[in-house]
Amino acid sequence: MTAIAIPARPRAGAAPSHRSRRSADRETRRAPLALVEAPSRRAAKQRRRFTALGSAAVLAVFTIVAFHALLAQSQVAIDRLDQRTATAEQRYEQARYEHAVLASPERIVQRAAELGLVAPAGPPTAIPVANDLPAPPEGTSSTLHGWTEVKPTLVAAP
Amino acid sequence: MSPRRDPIAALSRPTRRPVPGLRPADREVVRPAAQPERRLGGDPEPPRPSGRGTGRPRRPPGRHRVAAAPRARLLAILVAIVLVYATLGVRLVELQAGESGRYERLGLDQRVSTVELPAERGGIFDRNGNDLAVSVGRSSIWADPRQITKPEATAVRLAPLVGADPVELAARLSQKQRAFVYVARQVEDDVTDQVRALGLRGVGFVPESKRYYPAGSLAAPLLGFVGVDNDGLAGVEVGYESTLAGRAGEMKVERDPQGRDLPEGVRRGRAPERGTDLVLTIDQSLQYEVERVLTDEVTKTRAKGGTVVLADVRTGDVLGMATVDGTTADAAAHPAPAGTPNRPLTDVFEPGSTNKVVTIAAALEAGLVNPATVLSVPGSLLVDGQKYEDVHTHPTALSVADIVRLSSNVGTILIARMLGRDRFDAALHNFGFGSPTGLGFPGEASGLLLPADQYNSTSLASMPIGNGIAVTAMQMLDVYLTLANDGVARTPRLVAATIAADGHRRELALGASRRVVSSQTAATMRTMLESVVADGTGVNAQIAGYRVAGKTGTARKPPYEHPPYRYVTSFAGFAPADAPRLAAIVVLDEPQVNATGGQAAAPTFARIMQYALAVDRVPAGP
Repeated sequence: MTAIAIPARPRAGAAPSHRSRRSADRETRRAPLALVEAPSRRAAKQRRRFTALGSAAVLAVFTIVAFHALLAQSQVAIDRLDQRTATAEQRYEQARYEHAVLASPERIVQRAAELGLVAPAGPPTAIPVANDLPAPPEGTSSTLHGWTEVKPTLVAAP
Repeated sequence: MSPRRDPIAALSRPTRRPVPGLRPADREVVRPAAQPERRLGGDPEPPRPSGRGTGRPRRPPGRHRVAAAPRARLLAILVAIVLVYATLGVRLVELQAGESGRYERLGLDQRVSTVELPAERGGIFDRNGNDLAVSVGRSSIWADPRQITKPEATAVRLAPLVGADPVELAARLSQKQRAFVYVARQVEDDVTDQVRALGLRGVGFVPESKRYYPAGSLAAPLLGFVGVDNDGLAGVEVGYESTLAGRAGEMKVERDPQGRDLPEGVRRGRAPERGTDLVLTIDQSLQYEVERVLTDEVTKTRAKGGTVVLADVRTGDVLGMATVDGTTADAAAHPAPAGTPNRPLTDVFEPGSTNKVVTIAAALEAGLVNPATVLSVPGSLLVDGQKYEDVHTHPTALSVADIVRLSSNVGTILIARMLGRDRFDAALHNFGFGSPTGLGFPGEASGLLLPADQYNSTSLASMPIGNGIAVTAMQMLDVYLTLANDGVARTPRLVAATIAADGHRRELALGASRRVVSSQTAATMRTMLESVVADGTGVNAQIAGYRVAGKTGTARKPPYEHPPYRYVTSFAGFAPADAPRLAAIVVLDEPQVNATGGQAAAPTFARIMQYALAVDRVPAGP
């Protein structure tokens, strides 16, 4: 339905007063007539708008939930990786410790005795040479050599 | 559209609706215009009849009070509501704007907990990179007593696995006011697995690291040990605590009431910094041999104990430092365990004849004598009623070289008299007596040295031959290192390098050096000391293929006057004598067999030095 605004008509025979003239002027200055949308179309448009907004809200909620789930999953994955790293580091430390135990002089002497070797009566005989013997090669200890490379990669905390 | 009726106005306004049963005249009674007086609310006051009678008009129920009060009541309610909301509003602003930070913090405090992240302790290596002390990750088992419903039953299941007393453990688990008690600290992995398999409620695990010494008791007094919280308590572990300990970190973690980390929660902190490793100057192989040989010798001589220090002449690096406990009723002689004082640095002894080199070197340096200077040396000397005599018989005319070779007490006293109190005292200080060696070892003794102005009548007789003063084995070895190093004293060193958290190895500078005696004096002393081993009191220190220099020492322990006499025997020397590379001192405490430095300590020196020369690849002489 179209509503049309009709300006009020002055009473016939009555002299237009100053007030009524001003009112009439105001009415003549009103906005021009415009085509107004039918209420049914407006309602439909509003429904579509609400539907779109609702869908966007639901999508946003799902996105947030999915993001949270992804975050949680990533956190779990990080925790697992941390755990694996910690386990590997502990295994490394344990292996290094066992290596040190097996390489200790006491253990070597004990193992030698088990194999039937006996300690010599005296220290090894010195051989006279003209000059100093060459120094042992650098980095004979693989433990320390490897350690300087490995240490920076290890986690600082136990 | 009809105007809406104001309910308040409606209540206060007289009704214009005709009342059933009333005539128009009656209506006028309630018309406001007919009333001469108006009360609040506009209700007319009906005429008050006099006396009690049936003619009294009936008052409409609640008409006057109800009609008059609502406006005031409503106004009061309105004011009250406004006040309440205003108060709430003010409080809301106060909370949201003024105190928001405080409440935010309070809320965070409930969810965010700060966890200290202990730093992994640095390791200790020998000079070849062998592990002497290493930290390995372990788990500690803890419990929340509030969650443990049956402490006794839980304790019975846990105790055999962790090696605890069930009663004591049950008492710990019964402390309901506590949320955290340790069940066992730093247990092995298999124990952790077994406890985990029990699936006990309220029992948890926390990662920690445990300190291990892979070579067992090797150099234990030197290395020291750490407490259960990985704090150094003795030896190098405490001496270099700040270096080894690293820097602890902290982590702020937001957790739910169940203690689970919130994925999007606060998670920030400072990472711990791993401790710096120490690379000692100690050689594991040499250290083992030193301890083994010393243990043999202590056993053979039935000594109360013994100490050895082996060092590099050129650098002052300590290559081996051993302490051995003698045989007791309960145990055979053995290397001292961790927690025992590192005696070469902490215990002092009267050095005896090994101290004579200080007296002779000072006299040589002062130009008072030379090796060929012949003195008239009687077999004994009486000083202020105190008799000093030589152990070995000798002709009266002795050269200074012979005095050293035969270790003549009387001859040394005569030279000390020539030197005088002040120059002798200065020589003792110059050689480092009376102050720590500079190794930086915790608890290192300074020795006992009488100030020159407190010398008594026999001090200048006793002290030159090594009585009346007390030194550490390291201090005495320092004297021989100085002579071997051409008269230059170098501060001994125990740590050769450090390895930082980033793996960077930093070599530490050699100790400071200072000249004590001239190169010529040092060379002369080396020659005389070589004669001691060649055909003097130290012949048992000879090593096939090498020229060895050194000096024996035998000092009686107090009480000096009456038997049974107890001795400290020692031998200090270096090799090769012509180009010294290694120096060592052997000290045996109260040997029961062969109770002289030449018989007990000198052979021990020879065995250790021979092995050390071979390990250090020092060629034998031609």
